[in-house]
Amino acid sequence: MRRLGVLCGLIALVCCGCSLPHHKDVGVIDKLAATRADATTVLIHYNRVRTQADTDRDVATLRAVETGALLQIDAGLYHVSRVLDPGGSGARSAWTQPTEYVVPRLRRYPLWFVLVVENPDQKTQVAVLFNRASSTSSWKATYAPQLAATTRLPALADQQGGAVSIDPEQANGLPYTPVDLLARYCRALSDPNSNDARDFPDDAFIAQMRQVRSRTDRGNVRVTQTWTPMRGSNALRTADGGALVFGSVQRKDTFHIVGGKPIRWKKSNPAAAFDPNRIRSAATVTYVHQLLFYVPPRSLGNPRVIGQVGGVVNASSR
Amino acid sequence: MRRLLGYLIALVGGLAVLAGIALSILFGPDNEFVSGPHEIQSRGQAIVTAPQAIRYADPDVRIEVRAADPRQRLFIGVANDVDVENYARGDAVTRVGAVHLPWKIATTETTGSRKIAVPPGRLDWWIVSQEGRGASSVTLPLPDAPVDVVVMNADATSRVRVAVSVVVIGSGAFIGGLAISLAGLGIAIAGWVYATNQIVEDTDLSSGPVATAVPRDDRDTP
Repeated sequence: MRRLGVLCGLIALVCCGCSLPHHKDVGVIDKLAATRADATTVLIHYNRVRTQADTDRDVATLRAVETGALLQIDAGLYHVSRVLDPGGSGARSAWTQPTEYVVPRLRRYPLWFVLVVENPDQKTQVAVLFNRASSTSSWKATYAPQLAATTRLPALADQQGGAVSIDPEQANGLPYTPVDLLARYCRALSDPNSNDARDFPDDAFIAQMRQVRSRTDRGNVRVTQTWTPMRGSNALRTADGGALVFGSVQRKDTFHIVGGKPIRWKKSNPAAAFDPNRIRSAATVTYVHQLLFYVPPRSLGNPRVIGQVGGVVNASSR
Repeated sequence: MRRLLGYLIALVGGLAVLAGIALSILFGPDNEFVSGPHEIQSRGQAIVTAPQAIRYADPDVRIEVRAADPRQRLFIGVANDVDVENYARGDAVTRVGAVHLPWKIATTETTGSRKIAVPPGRLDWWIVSQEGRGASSVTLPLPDAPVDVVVMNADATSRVRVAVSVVVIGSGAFIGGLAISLAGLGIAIAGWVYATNQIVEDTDLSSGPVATAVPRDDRDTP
């Protein structure tokens, strides 16, 4: 009898205990920027709208799913494509299903997350960052730097099942803030002899841009390159205490004609789509680049670019 | 010592009986604890609970709203505070800072110059939401995340006048309460017997075995 009573009591308590309310901690108010299902839906929608925009080479359509520097790059691409190949199409393959989801926990808008997808056209990967500016706006792709097919993102720090975002204006244990990183990188790109250039000794993107400059700086053409950071940046904490930083920079290549005849852009040169005129004394071509940096803790090395995408957005001459 | 322990067990059993009966009466045979309807109104565009107002997670809850004007389309939704805070920021709303059941709430009117331009039904971040003419309701297990309840006119116009009912759904609470009562009764009886048996045993041990004389009936003896 006694055993039976105890058993009944335990069963009743366990049965009711399943739905007993528990006090929750509302001290920290945050949310995962998106669920995996939401992120996948956003990518599918993006692919669908971009495919339509690519086919029509229509920036207005693309504006529904892209913003910022990425929209500038693609708008430039459409313009070049329409001018240099009027009868063609700007169709690109859709990005594949994500191979990696990076979704931070965020305390306020804008919300954002990163998907690593494959770009079948170029056999590369793309780290596409989708941003939602406010609760009433839609998700838009804001960054899409391309990574080599073999590149893997560094392991990221985790907090309650989400990645950890970093305020771009706070150093947060990094050698410098993400915003400052972009400014220093631009100074290093503009001037190889600057103090900032020492912070990026083995950077492949800097080496590539210096090659581009030296290739065109010949004959009666002198080239100057200026780099300026663009507003906005997104950063994530890596597991080693470093950071993954998305940022955009603007590059202006100015070509000075020194004592020679006026010249003209080759018809296949994207700059010709913006400026078909003869260049009498100087021409300026404006590019926008999106960069993905890995910033390790200072003891583990120097920051370096692990992904980039860019394109011509304007050209003019006099 | 054993007697004390027995009475203690009986007391626990008795308390369980009372708790079980209270649980069964509170939720009733439909397993629902209902508070309301309670009238709330806002001169602004929304009635919004603060994340601190919902301090518990897990139980299933149904929130029902009924408009003062039965022709008015009503919206009710539950979403993460990050979304709601951004949606209603700068707007004139009635904020419910605390809710204590059966019913005690603390509200504040916030003033703002901004207007909510997008009707709530067009947004995709609600955990649950529903629109209806004259009345609407949502049911959900209260999540661990910091969530807010939002009540608005479906067209996001100002002046929201509603009667709110909160229903806590305790699946199996009625039967569970009865089971707890029965188990408590069993425990109480067991405790009582345990306590009182000891006295009998002590008495038996002290007095030793009692010889009982069997009366002989000699009448049949020849």
